[in-house]
This record gives sequence, C-alpha cells and structure tokens, in this order.
Amino acid sequence: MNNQEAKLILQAYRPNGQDASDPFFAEALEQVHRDPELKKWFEEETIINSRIQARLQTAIPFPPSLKSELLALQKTVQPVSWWFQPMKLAAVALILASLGAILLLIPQRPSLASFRDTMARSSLQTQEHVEFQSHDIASIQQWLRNKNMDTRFDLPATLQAGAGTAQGCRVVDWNGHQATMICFIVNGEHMDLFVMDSAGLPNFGGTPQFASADGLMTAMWTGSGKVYLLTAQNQGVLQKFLQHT
Amino acid sequence: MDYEQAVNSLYEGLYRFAWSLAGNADDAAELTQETYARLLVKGGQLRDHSKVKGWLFTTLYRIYLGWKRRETALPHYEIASVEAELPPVTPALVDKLENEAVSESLLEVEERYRVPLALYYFENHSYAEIAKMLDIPIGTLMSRLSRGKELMRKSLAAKSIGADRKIISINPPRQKESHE
Repeated sequence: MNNQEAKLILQAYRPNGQDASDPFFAEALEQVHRDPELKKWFEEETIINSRIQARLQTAIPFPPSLKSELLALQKTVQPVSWWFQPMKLAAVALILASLGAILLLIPQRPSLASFRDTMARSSLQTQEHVEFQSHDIASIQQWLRNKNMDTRFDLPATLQAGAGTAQGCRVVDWNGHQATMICFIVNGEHMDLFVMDSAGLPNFGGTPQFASADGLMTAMWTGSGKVYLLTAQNQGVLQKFLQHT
Repeated sequence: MDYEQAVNSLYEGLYRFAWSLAGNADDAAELTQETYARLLVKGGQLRDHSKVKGWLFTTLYRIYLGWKRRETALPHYEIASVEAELPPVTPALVDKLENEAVSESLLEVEERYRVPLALYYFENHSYAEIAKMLDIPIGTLMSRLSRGKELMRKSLAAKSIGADRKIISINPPRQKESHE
C-alpha cells in the first residue's frame, strides 16, 4: 500500500477514534506509523475533520417546535395493525396468493387503484413531462381538442380563479382509454390534474378520496361522467388546494 | 426502541442530515416529519429494533430522492479557476471561519459527494454504515468521501479569503415545483 492509497482509505476514518480497531483501516494505519510524512498528514487531517464536525453540529439551528411536532405525530398517524407481524403476515400472504390465483380466472374490471397508479407514474415522469408547453389554458384546451380530447370538464375552482399557473399538458393512455393531464404550479407546488371519461370506473361522487401512490398524494373524485385525479407532493397541499374548491 | 426514544435520541442527527440534503430549514423539517410518520406507519415491520437508526436515515434519503424525481435537472456550475490562489486548509483556518461559512461550504458540494459527507460528519456513521445506507460499494464511498472533502475544503479556503462568490454554487437549494 502506498501513501496515496492509505490517504484514500483514511478519509473514511472517523476523527473520534471509533475505527481504531477496525481491520479495514489496519494496513493504512501501519503505513501511518511507518511514514512520518503520512503521519503528519493524518494527524492534521484528524484535527481538521474533528473541527469541521464540531462546527457543523452546532451550525444548524433546530426549529424549536420540531421535537414536539414529531412526538405529536403519534396522535395523527396510525401505526400498522397486527397483520404486519411476520407470522401473521405470512398467513395473510398465503391467503392472498390463493385468492389471487382465483381472481386471475375472473375477467377484471377497470380498477381505481390501477388508474391512480398509472396517473401517479405519469405525474412523476420527468422526461417529456408535458407534450405541449403553455401557460395559457385556452391554448392548452385548443391543443387537446386538436388531439380529439374532450375539454368539456370542470377545472377546480382554485384554478379557474387563476390561483395557479398552467405549465402544459399531454395525453396519457390507460387501458386503451385516454386521459388529459394538465400540469400546474400553485403557490410553488407542482400539481397535475388528470381527467378522463369514467370508462367503467365506479362513480363515487364529488367528495375527493385521498390516497398515496408511488410516493405522491392523490385526490380523486367523479362528476358528470368524468373521473378527476389531482396529484401533489403531500396531502396537506391537496387539502389546502381543494378546500377552496 | 419505541417511537419516543427514536425521536428523542435520533431526531437531531436526522434533521441535520435532512438539512444537508434540502439546504433549508422548512424542507429539512418536512423531510424529518415524513420520515418519522413512515416509522409510525411501517415501524412494526422492523424486526430488529437496533436497526431503527439505519432505517430512518435510509428512509429519509429515499424520500428525498422521491422529491428529486420531480425536479428539473439542476443547473450545475463548474468550479471557477481560482483554485491556484486558495490557501491550504489547516485547523487554524477552520477556527477562523464562522459556523455559517462551514455549513455553507458543505451545501456547496455536489450532492453525490455531499450526502456521504453529511452522514460522516453529522452522525459519525462508519464507512460500512454509509455504504449500506446509500447502497454503494465501499470503494465508491471512499472515492466520494475523499472528493467531497476536497471540494468542501476548496470552498472553505475560498471563504477564508473572501473569494466564495468567485468559486461555485454547485448545487442550489431544492426546487420542488420545477419541471423539465
């Protein structure tokens, strides 16, 4: 091992000496004892790392309410129920596998979950997120009509009131049905609105149903033969947006 | 380890790591909260409670990556050619700098080097723990730590001579709302 290799390895050595007995560093540390120049470098490196570490650990102020907010989460977030325990989970998995095999033999109806997942993936797509870029809703509608898409749907009232800025749109395919996607920025938050003819999906009314999909939060509702789905980073953003609708 | 213990003993390190990723207090707090919310929801799946710490850091990093999937590729500026003028970083030079300058220097390091560096400095994680959390080979981690320290020290050196404006803004704070 030469000094260059020893230096590379010793960059991972923690300044408080916790790694002193780790065999991974043994050869590099032997080299330190053999070579005075490397020893000098290592001693200075340890001091610098120690000082930087101490500075960083005091440099970042904590939001004073963070700890109490984290503890309060226990009251609002439901822990997983008993069936996540390993043995019970295995039993449930066996039952589900059996049911799955049976369900495979039954013709499938379009499911809300499948629609939600497909739209969430489209919302997360960063490459060619929109096919047509425009801040103007009328231009977006015209582009959609040129694609034979039905633009006779209700935009959420918040958007109608001009609270957001459209970024563009595209057409998303789901099980042979075409959904309109309009991308917005509202109060600095990215949101995508998907609208599609109900396409055999159940009508569950105008009250938004919230669910997560692929790390996003979604709100879905139906009305006038259409199904609407809105995606955002988290539920708080969606609720804030929809409460004005 | 129950939930309250996990908050009491780990939230500070987790918040600092979140801050090193997000670069601002609001997003760091949100990342920390989302991570603990997931612990509440999924914590029952953790068979070995001694692994809560590693799970929390890994989960926070994955949430952050999820956020990033929605970002525009961030502008990336090359280091300006002031390197030759920079003084060597010594313990005395670090002592001379304000805390804020040190934390800014960390934020200026490109993310793939900054993440292991933050885990190394903030929570004193070992090389093996960091490699596991980031799911990268140990050799890669060594290179990233080495390069990360080098970049951070260039930034520290630049700040010590008041040249930070000349040097870099490698990775500006996260912009959740932006698009391609």
